[in-house]
Amino acid sequence: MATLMATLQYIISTVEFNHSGELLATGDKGGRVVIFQQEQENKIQSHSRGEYNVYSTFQSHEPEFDYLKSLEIEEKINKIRWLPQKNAAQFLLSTNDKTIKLWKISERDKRPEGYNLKEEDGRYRDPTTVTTLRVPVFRPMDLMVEASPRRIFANAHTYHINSISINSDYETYLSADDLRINLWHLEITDRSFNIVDIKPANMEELTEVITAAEFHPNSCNTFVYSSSKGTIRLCDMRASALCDRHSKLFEEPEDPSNRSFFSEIISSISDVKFSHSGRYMMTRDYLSVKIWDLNMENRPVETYQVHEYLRSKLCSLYENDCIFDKFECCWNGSDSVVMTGSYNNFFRMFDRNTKRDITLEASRENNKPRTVLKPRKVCASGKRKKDEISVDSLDFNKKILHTAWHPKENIIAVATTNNLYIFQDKVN
Amino acid sequence: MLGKGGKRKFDEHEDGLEGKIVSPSDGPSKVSYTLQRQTIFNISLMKLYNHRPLTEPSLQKTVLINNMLRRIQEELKQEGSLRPGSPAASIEELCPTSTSTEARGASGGAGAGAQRPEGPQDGRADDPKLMDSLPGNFEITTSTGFLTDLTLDDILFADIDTSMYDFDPCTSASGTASKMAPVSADDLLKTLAPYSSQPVAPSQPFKMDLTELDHIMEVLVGS
Repeated sequence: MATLMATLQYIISTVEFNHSGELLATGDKGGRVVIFQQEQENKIQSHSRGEYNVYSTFQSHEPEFDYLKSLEIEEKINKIRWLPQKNAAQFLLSTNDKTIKLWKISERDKRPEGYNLKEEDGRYRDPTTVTTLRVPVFRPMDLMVEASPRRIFANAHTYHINSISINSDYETYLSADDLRINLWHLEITDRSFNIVDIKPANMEELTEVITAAEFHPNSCNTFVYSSSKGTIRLCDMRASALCDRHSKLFEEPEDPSNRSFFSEIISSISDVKFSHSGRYMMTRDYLSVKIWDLNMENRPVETYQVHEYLRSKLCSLYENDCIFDKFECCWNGSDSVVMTGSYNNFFRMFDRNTKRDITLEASRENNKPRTVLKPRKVCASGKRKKDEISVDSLDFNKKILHTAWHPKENIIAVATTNNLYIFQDKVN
Repeated sequence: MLGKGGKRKFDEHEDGLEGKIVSPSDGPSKVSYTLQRQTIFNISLMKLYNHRPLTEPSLQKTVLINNMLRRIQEELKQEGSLRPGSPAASIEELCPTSTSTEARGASGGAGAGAQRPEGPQDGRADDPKLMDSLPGNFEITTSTGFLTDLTLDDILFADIDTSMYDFDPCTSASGTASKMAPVSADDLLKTLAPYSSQPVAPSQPFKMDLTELDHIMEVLVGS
């Protein structure tokens, strides 16, 4: 696998490929967005796909201060979602805790030269010195990539935004915070429709929050949202304006043999993603990844253990807050493999067809181009074999929360704390 | 990255507290269950109150921790009510929990205060305010009213020294040995002491001497 590693100044908080896979956007804790672009190589003669280079960097969000609550509003980018490309420019939505912004990224590689009334440096010429007229022409210039904010969707969320999802109609999108989900039109910034509200009349009765939400990839009236109690609700916007009653409720009954004080916390869903086909959805809770068939509500069709060896460490993980880490998950382009992150800079891939899984590590030592990543193994207990790592040696500060898979090719982006790794499959 | 094998993130002794939950009715393992429950309860309280973020704390985290505390509180209530004449049951009679709205008012607070066997005068006057100040603090940050039903009178355990829950800024931090790892009685007392005063601006003086204030600052800043 060829690798690219880029070190970002701030902690990476989100990673997202665009619809063609040519662009990869990262958001960070400092409110910046860095976009990488794949080189368009001649694919016939090269053995590996194009490498990713920095394409554009811009400051998306700035820190703000909420004077009413006397608290800072972080500029950290929580999510980035790309719009499908309609013209030469690219558009993406980026959000922090409170405000969503639509950014236009456009290229400029030509500039007009030969004005009659202006010099090349912009100074105006004395009109009396103009003796001939000429038509300005476009001449090539060094590529310049400009990002400009086209829409700002603000003041619609009292609580922290955790998800944004663009509808398949490409005109509307949803934004979800802990207690509410709003529906927006991409053109309209001064109005949004509240479609889910789980805030109780008495906040003391609050026991459950929304953790993630996503539109169905094909049905523009369908979306799902997950909760901190491990449930997923599928809603149909045609049923009513306020989708407080779900069409379907997905929940797996608790395994009594695994019951502990932490059962609820580890059941909290940190991410939900529809498959590209739209037939399945995947959820990530603290210890596992589950695949659900949308037609079956009472249990997932597949469950993959990410790091079951942590089950006996939950008390410590509760104490050091790791149990609240929000891992994301993603599908590959054909929905045959799913991927998610873990600790110690490990990430895991599960092949749904062969039922095989692999653990890999994103680290500087492995960052030599053209080296194949070596599979890793964690030894839960007992005698540790050679090359295995014991649970107690895992570094819980090195967590991979964000991963992304190219929509068409076997290229993955994996974010450690400050580093972005791009791994590509070797093509024979 | 060096020393991958050298990282030890967990306390050795905590392994004894981990593992599957045993049924609370088992004899000797009931102790470890109770101990684990106690530890988790302490950790949860610390998480909710020993935290002064510049940004708004995560509502999800707050809700999950609060659910944990409520669950443990429920368990304790049930265990207490199962044994007639147990301290928990008698406390229930004397100091009704403020899950009912009436108890949350001054009368409930005064009732709780009147039954308190010891503690200086000032502490008693603080009691109703104590119950108010806990959620009050929350309201500022999370605009919720958590834990109004969780009175500190409920957190009395027969086999645990209760002085650590005497949230009185006037008593000096007693070094009563606590059986509960990893939070010492001192830490908990010092952590919670600032919250026992009225929720007003820092200009209102604490009734404690400077050394205790220093201790509290250390705990808050160090965590």
